[in-house]
Amino acid sequence: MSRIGDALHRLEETANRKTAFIGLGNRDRGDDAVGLRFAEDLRRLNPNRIFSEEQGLEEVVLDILMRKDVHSVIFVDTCDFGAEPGEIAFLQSDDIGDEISTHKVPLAMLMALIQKEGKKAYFVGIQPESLDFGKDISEIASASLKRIEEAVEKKLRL
Amino acid sequence: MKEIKIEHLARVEGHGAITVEIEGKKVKDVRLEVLEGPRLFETITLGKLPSENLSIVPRICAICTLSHKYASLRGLEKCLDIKVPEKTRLLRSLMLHGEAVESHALHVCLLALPDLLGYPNAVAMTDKYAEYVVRGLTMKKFGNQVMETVSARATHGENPIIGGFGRFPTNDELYALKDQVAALIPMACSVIDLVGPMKFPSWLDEETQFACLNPVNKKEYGLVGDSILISDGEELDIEDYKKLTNERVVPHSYAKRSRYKDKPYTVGSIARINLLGDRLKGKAKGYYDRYTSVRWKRNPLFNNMAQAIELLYALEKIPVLVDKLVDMKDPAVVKPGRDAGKGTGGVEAPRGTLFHSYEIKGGRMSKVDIITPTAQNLEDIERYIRIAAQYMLDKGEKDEAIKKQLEIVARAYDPCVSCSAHLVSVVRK
Repeated sequence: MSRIGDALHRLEETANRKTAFIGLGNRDRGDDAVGLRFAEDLRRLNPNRIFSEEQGLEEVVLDILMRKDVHSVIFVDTCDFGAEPGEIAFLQSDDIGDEISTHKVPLAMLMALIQKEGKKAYFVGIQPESLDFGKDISEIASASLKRIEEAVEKKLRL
Repeated sequence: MKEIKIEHLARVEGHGAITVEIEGKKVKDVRLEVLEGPRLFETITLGKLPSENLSIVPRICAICTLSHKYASLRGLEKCLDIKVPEKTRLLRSLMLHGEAVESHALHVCLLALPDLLGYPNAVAMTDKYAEYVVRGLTMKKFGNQVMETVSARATHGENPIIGGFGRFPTNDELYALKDQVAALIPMACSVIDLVGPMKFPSWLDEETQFACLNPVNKKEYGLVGDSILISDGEELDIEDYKKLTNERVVPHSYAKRSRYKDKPYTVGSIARINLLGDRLKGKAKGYYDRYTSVRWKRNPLFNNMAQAIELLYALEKIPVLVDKLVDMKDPAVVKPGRDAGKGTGGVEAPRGTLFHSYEIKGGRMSKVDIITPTAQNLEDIERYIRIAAQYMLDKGEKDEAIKKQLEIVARAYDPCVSCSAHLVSVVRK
């Protein structure tokens, strides 16, 4: 199975009707907007399970910590894992480092908190082609995002 | 020569590096390098309308966005001869206190606590201290809600306008803020109870100078003023801010440096607590009396504790402001009295004194000077890093241990490198 196929297979195996998804990113920086686009595209299908960083990441996570109907959280974002642009990686929370923070709560800390509450936390990342300011999402990252969205849509219908 | 280099300082805003040059057993040079590219905000707004300036300059920072907004408003309104009514002034104060809650809760509970508790990173801390992380997030969320209520967005809200507000929040919206505070105050107290008894190393102790704005009501602790109080007893009119900052350029950094009487100085929570702390009230005053000592004037690590006390101060202040606001009628927006003038506005941003100085000619921006807190703190950060590096060298510590300690010192200032225009590298020669 290809890397993308493997990541999508793991995403489909992991997600269920008790999974919430949070799209992360920056819409001004090319492919960094894929997570936000993900939330924008799918939120109308189930606003109780699809969230965007733009709603306030810490606030969204705090609410999810209190929710008994959410057993797992999958973050969607770009991620530099040294692969070819458009490749998809499905990562466990242990794979996410204590990243350099920019006045933001480190994602790894939020994932650790989610786990501490007895829920599972995962990360789906697309290898970006470009993170340049003012650029749109690249065609290759868009195509990968579409495949992630198709996989998640099936789960939202559960 | 050996060089220890921290190429990117983690858990601070922006891109900075610290280089420490060591020759033999002596620290030869310390350079706090701000590597963020020049932001050019002071040039971008030239020729634009004051209202455009007001929307552009807060983009300098997404954390202190409302401090920039308020400092800008104070400077612009001075230029345009606008005096705002009491309700507008109090509502702007409310937004500034909300920003202080958001910023201090984030730094103390989520970014500084791992250092203070001796954890290698924030994730490791969640194992034993998850409740403090949740408390920090809860207070941060509240701070965001205050900012959103007043400014219409948690970040870069556009509701505060020249002469007033686009829309005043309803009393129900204001009471909704007040109703939450009672549950948050014990959270802030628990953080002070955790941090307060911690011992900070005395080898870092060295006297420095402090500066902050003297609140308009000089009997009160506050975040807005028209004069600058300095630890040598001097008080400067805010229009004379350059007598404090004396900015100069250094070759290794995009950020300008400030010195007062040719010596470094510190702004921020530690400066405010040291200079104004005896004016605090309520539980914050109780903690101030219990924990402050003469060492708070010598050791920057106490800034974390000062922020925790200010977090409590801001939470206690918010209901007081709400009670005043709900009894007042919404005033109309005040129109400019002229289209030309000069004026300097200042507020106490979470990281310290922020100056916005303007000149307007023919209704257009003709001069802009913005001096941020971190830019003023850079010289003192370098000085304390030098002290820490020399102590660690004398102790025979390895480079990794030195780097870790230097980062802790720099982080205690909660530097916002993007605002100042980024951090540790040790070079052994």
